[in-house]
Amino acid sequence: MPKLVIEIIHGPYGRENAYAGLFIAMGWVAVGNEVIVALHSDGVYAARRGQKDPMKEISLPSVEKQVMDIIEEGGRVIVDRTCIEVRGLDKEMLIKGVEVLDGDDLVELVYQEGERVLTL
Amino acid sequence: MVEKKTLTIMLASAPFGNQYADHMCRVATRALEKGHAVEIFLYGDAVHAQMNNQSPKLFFPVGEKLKELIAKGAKVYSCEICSVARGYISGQLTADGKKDYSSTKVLDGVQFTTIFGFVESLARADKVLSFGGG
Amino acid sequence: MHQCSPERRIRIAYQVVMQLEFEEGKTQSVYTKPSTIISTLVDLMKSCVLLMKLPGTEGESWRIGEAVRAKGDSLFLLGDAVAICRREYRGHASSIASGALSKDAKVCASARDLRARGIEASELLEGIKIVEDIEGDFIDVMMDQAERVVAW
Repeated sequence: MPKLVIEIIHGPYGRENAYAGLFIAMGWVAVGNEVIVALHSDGVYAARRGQKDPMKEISLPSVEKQVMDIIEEGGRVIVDRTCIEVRGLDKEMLIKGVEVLDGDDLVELVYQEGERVLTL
Repeated sequence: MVEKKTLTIMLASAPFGNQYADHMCRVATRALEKGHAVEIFLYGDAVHAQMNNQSPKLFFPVGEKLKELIAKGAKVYSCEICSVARGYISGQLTADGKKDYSSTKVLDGVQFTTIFGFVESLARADKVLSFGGG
Repeated sequence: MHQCSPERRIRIAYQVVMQLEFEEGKTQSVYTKPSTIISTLVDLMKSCVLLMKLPGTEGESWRIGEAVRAKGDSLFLLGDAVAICRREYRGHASSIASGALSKDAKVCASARDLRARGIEASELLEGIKIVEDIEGDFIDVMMDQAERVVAW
């Protein structure tokens, strides 16, 4: 089964990156493939739960919904533990199903599974 | 004799504002010259690279370079939803119910596709690269 | 484990296989677990990083550098990223170039981008290769040698 890793380092809404990367991830899992979305640096904000109606507020589609859809389709969305701690987030503040890995472990996982890697 | 492989490239940043289109076109050109197959996917703001009649007097001539790449055998795909959003294609259906990809604004040879077209390109590639996104 | 040279890693993998044969019938020690053999062999993967920007944070620099692990791996610098191989550069991204060099990986910088930015060869860390056809070299490494390729 073809594997894809998408690394997202920018937060949602201020830039299109998170939306764009998650959009690809969703297309990839929708056809039955495995995906790992690795969120680090500001990308971890994409995994924050409670993003309230961004379409109404700022005319942008919900990134939280994308993350939920990807997890529902069997994709893995993983945040770097150091990056959430530095930003004062904890697991309870994240979308259900998002995984937290130590930086070393996430880097290693991406290296092992990264037959194809896209960075955004 | 080099073994021919397929390289799929995603460009995700708009041209002129940065050097990614330059790096991408050079890497794609060298890959073709070395006998590999190249597929390019223009995504997000990068779809602006497909605009016809660009005349950057002083900047990297991405439109010209894309035309050359197409002439040399690269497949250049553009994200249709991103292109509709930015006004390159209408997003309407033709009289016989097909997607209307006609446009006076787009370089010849650029093919529109959904994200699933990109997904297929990613799956068949031997190697994948992403340029841009900042 | 990741600091091992590829040669040492092959020797370790061989010892592990030999130990399996000797200890047939006995309880397997942690050194003979099949997953250890697999991860040892998988460690031999060659990796290639194409860097085209100056990373924004220390964390990003660390992460980018982590893909370059040993002799046989390579780092290609285009665009603004060529600045990180200047000896006097003290930003966090300097660890990417110096780290790669210390692991005996190949580090190449774009001649064209250096000249355009006024960076002289004498300013660079020792061991950096200045390459004219850097895209061509990168394609060769990516297609013929590397199992892991990532572009930033």
